[in-house]
Amino acid sequence: METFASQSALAVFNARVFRELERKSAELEVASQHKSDFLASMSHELRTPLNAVIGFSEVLLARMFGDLNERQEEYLRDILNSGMHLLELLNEILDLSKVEAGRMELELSVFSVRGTNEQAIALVRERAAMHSISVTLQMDPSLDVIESDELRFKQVMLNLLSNAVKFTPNGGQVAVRAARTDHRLTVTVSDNGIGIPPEDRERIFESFQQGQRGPSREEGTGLGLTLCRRIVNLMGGTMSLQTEVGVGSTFGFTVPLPGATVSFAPDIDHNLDPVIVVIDDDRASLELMSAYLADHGVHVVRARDGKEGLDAVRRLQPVATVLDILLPGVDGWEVLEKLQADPKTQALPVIVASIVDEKSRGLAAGAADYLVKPVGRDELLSALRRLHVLPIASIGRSA
Amino acid sequence: MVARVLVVEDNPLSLKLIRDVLAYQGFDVLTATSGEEGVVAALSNSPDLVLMDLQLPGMDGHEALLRIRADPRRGGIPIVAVTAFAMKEDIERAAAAGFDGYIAKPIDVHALPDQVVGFLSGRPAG
Repeated sequence: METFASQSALAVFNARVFRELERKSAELEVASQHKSDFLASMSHELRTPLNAVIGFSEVLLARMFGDLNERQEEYLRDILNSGMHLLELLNEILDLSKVEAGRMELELSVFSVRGTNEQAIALVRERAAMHSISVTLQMDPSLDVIESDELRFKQVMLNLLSNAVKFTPNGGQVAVRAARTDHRLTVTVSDNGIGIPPEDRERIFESFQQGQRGPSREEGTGLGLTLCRRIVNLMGGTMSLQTEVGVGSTFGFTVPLPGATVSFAPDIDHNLDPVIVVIDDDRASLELMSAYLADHGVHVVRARDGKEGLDAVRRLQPVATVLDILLPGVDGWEVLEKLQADPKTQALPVIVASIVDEKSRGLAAGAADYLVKPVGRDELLSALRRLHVLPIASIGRSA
Repeated sequence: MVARVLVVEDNPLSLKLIRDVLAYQGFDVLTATSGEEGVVAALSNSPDLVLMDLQLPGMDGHEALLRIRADPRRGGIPIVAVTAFAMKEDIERAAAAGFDGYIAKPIDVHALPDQVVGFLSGRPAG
């Protein structure tokens, strides 16, 4: 009897604790949502005056309204750099709050790992040169294009690179290496800086912790590595750090490569929607075409140049390809020719969408249709319907 | 002939920045600080291009676009969205609404003149 009484008392107690926990976690969720909303709107409110600070500094520095003396130019650069620094901080706060609220989404496209790494390196080249730091890139030759979020990928690279340059002494070396192992891509950024003592190795990935890495030449935002880790996690990967005090540090990340071994197969892994590849070097055009195709039950894969485009078409066997003509390197005509010459891609319909008005040449070269830019939404959709690529609106997906 | 650009923007500093940079480059710049004013200016002052902020108090950029487009004679002028959050959904929404392109804020004062020239020559966004 006594046992029963104590057991039921325990059960009542447990139930109460459980209810309490449930209530608390619901409250926490609401609070965290409020925090994210607050940060998002604050960032926006702060950005507007900041844009004025940056914009007018640039106008004056461009000497649009008269010459500057040395002191004026120096102060204006200080204003501009401080403004840029604040803007970077704001963007990172906004990104972090987005990740934490589960609202950051990856935008997948097919891009070249080398190209993206080179672009990121170009952005730190000037600062590295100021301190006589060499920056090198070593790529696994088998590594070509991958499908991932290009902007986020570049954001992570840029963060790791600017940290490396920032914490490497004058005359030092920064080395970027990218390698593929099975279905994974590993990128590392090594420096021969002062290294990170063991007690700081976990801490530097937390917000606003910069570690005691000696006198830094410039303050960072203290959010970069936190954000990198969150983005890499979102990509399904992990970050790594190898470091020794006095020798240097190697920061890296490993992400899975979806479809890395899919060379020619109908079972595309992301979903069952038919794939349309859009090849265009202009980011805005890519956005526009993707926007046109949104909500039409197709999966849009974007490629930024002819080489990427060819690879994507060969690999994904899309139901249609939208092809720009004026592309860097391999241009649209060449892409068309190569696709026509290959029995595996010969039958795949290509719609040219270009500012170049040479319809008869395009059709003769094997294009299924030819649209002259600017291409409107209806124009693109009806071209795709003529090819029976798009299901008639609202009837649903036939795939 | 000097191209006439109408800038619709409620924030006085943003407006001044865009106006001064474009004026410096030799454009004929008209300004409006609300959607209502923007519609009137777009239809009565025959600009060659409209730069329209999306977040305007009262009548917002999307509504102003619809009002301008509703005019059979002058409604066809190129209208470019200027937006602080150049995120995918904003771009998609602007494209779907009938904007001819978009310019992301913060305004890049070095790139702005070329962007405007691009839109004036009828090239797609970019």
